[in-house]
Amino acid sequence: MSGVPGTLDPQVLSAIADLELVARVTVDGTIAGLHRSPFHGYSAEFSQYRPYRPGDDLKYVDWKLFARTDRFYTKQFRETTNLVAHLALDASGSMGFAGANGVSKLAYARLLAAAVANLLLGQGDGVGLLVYDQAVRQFIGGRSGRSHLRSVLVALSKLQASGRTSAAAPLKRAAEMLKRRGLICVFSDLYDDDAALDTELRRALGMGHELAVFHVLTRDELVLRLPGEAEIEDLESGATLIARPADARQSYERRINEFLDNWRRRCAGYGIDYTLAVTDVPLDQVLKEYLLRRVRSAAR
Amino acid sequence: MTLYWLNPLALTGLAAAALPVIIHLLKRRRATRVPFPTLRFLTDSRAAAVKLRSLSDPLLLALRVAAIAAAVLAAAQPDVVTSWQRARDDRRLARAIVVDTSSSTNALARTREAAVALERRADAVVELRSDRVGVSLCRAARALLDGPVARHEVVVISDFQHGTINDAEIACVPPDVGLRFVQIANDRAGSTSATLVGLPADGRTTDQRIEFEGPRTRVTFLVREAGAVRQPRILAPPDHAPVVAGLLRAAARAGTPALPADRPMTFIFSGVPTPAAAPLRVPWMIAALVAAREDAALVAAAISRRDAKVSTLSAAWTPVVRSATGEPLVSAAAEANGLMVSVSAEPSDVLSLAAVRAFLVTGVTTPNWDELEVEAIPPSQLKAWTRAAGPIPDERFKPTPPGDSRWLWGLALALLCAEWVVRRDRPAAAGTEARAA
Repeated sequence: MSGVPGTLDPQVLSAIADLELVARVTVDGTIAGLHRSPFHGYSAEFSQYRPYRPGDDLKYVDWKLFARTDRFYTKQFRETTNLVAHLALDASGSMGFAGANGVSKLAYARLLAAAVANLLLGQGDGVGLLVYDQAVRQFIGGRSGRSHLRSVLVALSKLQASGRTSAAAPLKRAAEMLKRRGLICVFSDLYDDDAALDTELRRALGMGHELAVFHVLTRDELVLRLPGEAEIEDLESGATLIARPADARQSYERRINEFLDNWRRRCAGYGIDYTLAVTDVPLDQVLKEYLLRRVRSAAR
Repeated sequence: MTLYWLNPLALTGLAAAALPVIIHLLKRRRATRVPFPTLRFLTDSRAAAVKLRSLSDPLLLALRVAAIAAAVLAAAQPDVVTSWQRARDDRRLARAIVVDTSSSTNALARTREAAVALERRADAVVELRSDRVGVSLCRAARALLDGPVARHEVVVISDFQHGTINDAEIACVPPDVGLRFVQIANDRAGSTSATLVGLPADGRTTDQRIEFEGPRTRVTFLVREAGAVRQPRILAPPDHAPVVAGLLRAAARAGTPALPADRPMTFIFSGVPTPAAAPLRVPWMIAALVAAREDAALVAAAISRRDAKVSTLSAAWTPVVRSATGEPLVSAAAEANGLMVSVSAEPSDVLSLAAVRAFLVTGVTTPNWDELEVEAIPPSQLKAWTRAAGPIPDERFKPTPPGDSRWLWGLALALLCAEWVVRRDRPAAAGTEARAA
């Protein structure tokens, strides 16, 4: 998928040092593909017209325009409520794993987070950054403005994967740091204590926050491709396991698929926006998938 | 079915077939260390750890071992001789035809006809032409060994005069080699005879006459006045005249023949000036020189001498024998119409007697007593010696390069292809391994 022409290849993007440029290119490409901002809400400040689509609320149809042009147009309004989003980025050791294309999960999550930050800050929302492994490693409070974007991007560009994962405490802190209802975007491989993480996610939801989970994985984790016999070392704990992937492949793939299904079901059940981000999939495609889903849910 | 190895030393290379196993086991002791995000979805593989000491991919390993083994065996050049091949070889006959070229047989057209007829009936033929048939039997049997694998037979075409072949010469032929004798009828007279004129001594000569008459042979010695019989010329100091006479007498008693009229010979001893000489060019002189060099008595008399004087002879003289110090003791050269022999000793010396006898015996053509024989070997004896060609002995089945190695090379190639196909079907593991490395 990374080789599809006209897409933003993660391998290429990860090689570009200028994270701001990457974020802008990604967002511009994504928005250009959508032809309209998915973050456009319905408020008093008129933004633009767009052709009517089945499902649009009829109260926003401009009937005068219909009378003149004999076509249906829906009025769109710029959202005026300032959203504050916290980008919670997992920088534990497991995120340092790179797939066959050489792009590590952390690099991919960094690009994704930069793109989301650019998108949010571009429309006046506030963005904060929380980097964690088993504790909060770095925290930047939610603010808006281009200069703030730069400080977020600088922090993102300096990240190194290390340590174990324990997202419960950092997520709790991210939720508490949001003074009013906001958005928490989690970029992680979710190799964590499922129960503890589940508890904290529900707690954040209970506090009225909106949650989006970007589940970042490599293709090599979905389809086990290891040597005939290998001493497999856990990137976080350093524990080793002598395994024969040829024998273990079937059970591994069954288990990881169960793991993904659990998280999909759990997120769907809680109303969390879940996006599986595989590192060989173009960034704009992942972002577009997320934004379209968000647009659809907003329309509902 | 018998298996031969043309290059058995190459079989030591079979040890190389253990290499894939050794490499496999050594490599497996250290499993590739692969970093991975989490172990939570991987099966606890205690069983796999135990399997480290077993073979993980026996098919691939077997293919590699088999490919190496096939290549080594091919290099050893095996040659399988099947019973069918042996039966085919047993049907073939290689024949050595010994044609008697002695004067009694060679002129006969029937000899040639018999040889041609025999050649037509053999798969491989070696023809030896010799006037010494008995000696040639062994050579004929050996010559067949260089030919193709087949039953061997030696056929002798001769008039089989008495003495042509004896039991010892027959025994020289290996027992598996067949023997046949084609006797050509000889038209010779019922009796023959020849006379050998002896060397004159003291004015007399002793002639030797031999008569062959059927199974009877008569030898007559006739002492008569020397008359016109030629004597060798002796150049020695005058005071040695009695010694010279004694020397000639001793030579005559030793059965030395007289010189033919056309072969004059001069012996020159120490103490007299050497006449002008020329290099040897006449064939009979050169033949005499060569034969004298091989005369055992003359060589024995010369080789022990250490007191030889330095030779003052001209370059025309050819040394015949030398002393222990390398000085020529007896030399030969040509004069106007005869042979000159210079002896670096006095006439009374044993070396002088040996030199005179050697040159007189070798310089004279004696009658060929064998060819004068009128009696033939009895047919019953020839029949007793006759035997059929036996089956081919095992040791004579010679594998021929490159043997059957081409099949094994083909097998090795096929195994390598199969190994490549099997290895190609495991790209994922290999790819991950390379990446992890």
